[in-house]
Amino acid sequence: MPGSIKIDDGSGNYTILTNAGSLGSDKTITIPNETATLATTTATDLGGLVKLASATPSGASEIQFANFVDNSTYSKYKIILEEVIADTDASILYFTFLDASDADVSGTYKKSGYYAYMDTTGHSFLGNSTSSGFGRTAFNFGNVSEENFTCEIDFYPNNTKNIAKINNRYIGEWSGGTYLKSDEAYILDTSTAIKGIRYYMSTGNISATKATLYGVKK
Amino acid sequence: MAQTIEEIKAGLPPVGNSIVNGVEVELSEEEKEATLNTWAENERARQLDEEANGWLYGRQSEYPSLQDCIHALLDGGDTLTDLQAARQAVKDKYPKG
Repeated sequence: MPGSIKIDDGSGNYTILTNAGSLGSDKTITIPNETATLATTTATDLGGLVKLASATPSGASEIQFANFVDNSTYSKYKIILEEVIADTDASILYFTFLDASDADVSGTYKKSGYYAYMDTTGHSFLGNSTSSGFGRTAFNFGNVSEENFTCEIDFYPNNTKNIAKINNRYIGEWSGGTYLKSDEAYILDTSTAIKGIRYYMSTGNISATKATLYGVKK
Repeated sequence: MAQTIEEIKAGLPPVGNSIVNGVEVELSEEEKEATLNTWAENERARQLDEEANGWLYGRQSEYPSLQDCIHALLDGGDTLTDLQAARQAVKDKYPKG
């Protein structure tokens, strides 16, 4: 089918550029001094949010995004975990930072945050809390019926300072059918350069999700 | 009663592979065994915690809110009586272990 681009000056005056032929699978827009190809994972010149990687695991023991940190190009990273389903009921989704050789970065992961139920009165603020060598992204996952979580994660790697920061937000249906919203932040004070991250369940595989990693350009 | 590590391991699914930057990477048998052991230990810890504290988690999630409690304390009368009944119902639902 033919394609076209409409260029509008905002006052109702516009020009339509039409490609009379058939568009192939490779659709390219060229603007002065910038060239990029749409719908790829490396559209580096199109804007601030750049899709770096994605995965659609089924029955995986872990998901790794390895060696993606580029402090000269990106100020932070956004990770979306869509409709995560656990293999094993009432399990926790953990994360651990990775170094340049994809090894776990140990240390004290310090946490604060809160969670609140949507259909009961319970809620809690969490502070002065730590874990050794990992943090949690979401907890008390269910694996029954519609139970699942969707997580949005903002990750700020250490750069000129030692402290790596991550903010995990998730919404979903808990084990037992309760609806929940949670927001938890972690800090790891380490001189080891953080280069990646891996996700895994406390028990069992990640039955299904779509995981996507984006970089936010400086 | 919490299961033993061996009982838990017997009920767990096979350890899946790792997904690295979207690509499936097969784990070695040693890595799978180590992961299975970790899973079992985590599940046993969860079961022990549930045994010890399940009643507490249940009560925390279903007690009337602090706002409701303050309201009832200030109002007194039937409002306070109703709140106490609501709290007792939660306690009865989640008795101390």
